[in-house]
Amino acid sequence: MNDISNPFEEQEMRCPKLGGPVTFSYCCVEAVNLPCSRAIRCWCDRFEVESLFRRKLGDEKFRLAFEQPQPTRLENILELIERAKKINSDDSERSD
Amino acid sequence: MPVKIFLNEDEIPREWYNIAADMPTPMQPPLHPGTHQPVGPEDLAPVFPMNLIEQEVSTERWIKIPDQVLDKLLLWRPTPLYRAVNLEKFLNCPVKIYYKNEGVSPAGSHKPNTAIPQAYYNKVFGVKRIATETGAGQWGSALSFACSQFGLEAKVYMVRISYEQKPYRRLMMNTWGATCVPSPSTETEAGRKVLALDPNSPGSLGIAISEAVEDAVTSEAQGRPLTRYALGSVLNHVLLHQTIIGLEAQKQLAQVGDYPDIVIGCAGGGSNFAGISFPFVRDKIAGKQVQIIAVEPMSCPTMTRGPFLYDFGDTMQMTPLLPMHTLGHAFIPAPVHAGGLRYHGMAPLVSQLILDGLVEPRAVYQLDTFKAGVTWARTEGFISAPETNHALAAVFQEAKKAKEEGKEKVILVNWSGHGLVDLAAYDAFFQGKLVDYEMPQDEIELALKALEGFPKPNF
Repeated sequence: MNDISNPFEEQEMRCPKLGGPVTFSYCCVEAVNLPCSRAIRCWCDRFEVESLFRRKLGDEKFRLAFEQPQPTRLENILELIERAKKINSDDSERSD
Repeated sequence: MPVKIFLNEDEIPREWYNIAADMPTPMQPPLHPGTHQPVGPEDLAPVFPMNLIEQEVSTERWIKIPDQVLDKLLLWRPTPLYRAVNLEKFLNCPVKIYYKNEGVSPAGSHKPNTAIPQAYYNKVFGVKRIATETGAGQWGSALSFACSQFGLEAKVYMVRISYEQKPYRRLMMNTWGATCVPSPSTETEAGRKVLALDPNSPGSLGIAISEAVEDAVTSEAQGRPLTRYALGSVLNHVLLHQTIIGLEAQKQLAQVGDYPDIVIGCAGGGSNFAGISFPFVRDKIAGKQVQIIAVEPMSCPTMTRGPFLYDFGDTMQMTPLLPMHTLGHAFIPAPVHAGGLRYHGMAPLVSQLILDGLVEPRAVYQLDTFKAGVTWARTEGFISAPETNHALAAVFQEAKKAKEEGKEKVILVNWSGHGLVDLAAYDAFFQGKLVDYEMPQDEIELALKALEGFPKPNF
């Protein structure tokens, strides 16, 4: 999304995840070229951010960005453990 | 009237307080997202040493602090409890304001209170190296310090945007001997995948967590020293370690014959708030009258505006989505309540205490937090971390309220860290770059009109 200039992209906010200032343009690509799942929550008091994302993303990407269940930190870690275990087993198979 | 209330070194608390023993609503074990079975110790073993996992699931009320941990905590603990006499004079309200100064730690915040025991337990377990992620660097620097105290290697994946914005935190980590790399990095599969999609990716906390967990889980297979992962907030054992703050404060207040009417802490992931408040929540459960306030930003609130239905996505089957902030924090959709609500990003223990009515969440505006921080600096002298300013803003509100109501109040606040490496945020405030409120509607409409016809992005 950062290839599209938008009138809000240089607005700043303190990111509750990072603990430092970020611009709206960062929030637009935080999830690897998708917006941060918290972006609507964070910016909705400033402007019609939901409308903006609906227009820019389209239905499918909007769903991917905002309508997926958000795992807790522990669930996230557990998922990442499984993913990393797979890397171990793939490496092991390659070396066999 | 003493300005600083000290404890002798031999008065440092020797046990942490585990609130899981006293929760009115006992915590249910989380479910594994893959198996949908309750998470067991073996599920966490690839990333945490078993001694910390035991703490994570423990329901013992008191957990002994090992002597080796106390020896390290004594470098800066017990921290002084201050009476904010200058601020009290300035406010001219019928309040006594006490603050626990956690900014005196080597890393300048409360984070080393858990970094030290986590490093210790990893060391005892035979771990040689700890991997972690950090956003702005507060946790990364604390863990780097702790690892240096126990002769462990530290590897910190720092979100690239912060790595570039916050060179001082990175240099603190380096000074303590840690290796800090910008995330996404080329050192993990997770990082390489992101860089393949976007070589200029600014990173995110999610990516950095992925890298740190992968680093830990694949360490042995890839010939690195035995590595585990460490987290600076949210988890039960992290909150447990922080309770030393509140336990010390209770002893210090007893010295001067006071007890707080109000306990205030800022709450991001919940650890510093838990640290100051959980021993007082225990008192409240036992019938003591004490108001306990967790403070968060008005922008991006999680606790105060209730469950934002986007958080539940498909699990709620409530599409099309509607912003539900206006329903207020008392509103809990039945399916969520049944499953156990977890405020997004907030520690489950803190979330449950809010639901049980023991903790009151409050949101404050960004500009008010900096106004409070500047007034604090010009009265008490200390420059606060921006997140600490959230708690200070609530102190100001409560002082004003006490004056309006004509009631004398004793306020205890956790001054969770200094802001000496966050001065850019103060600069933004002084330059008027920070805003609180909505943009004018005509400006919004103009802006949205400008977007019409723009191409859809390619991902």
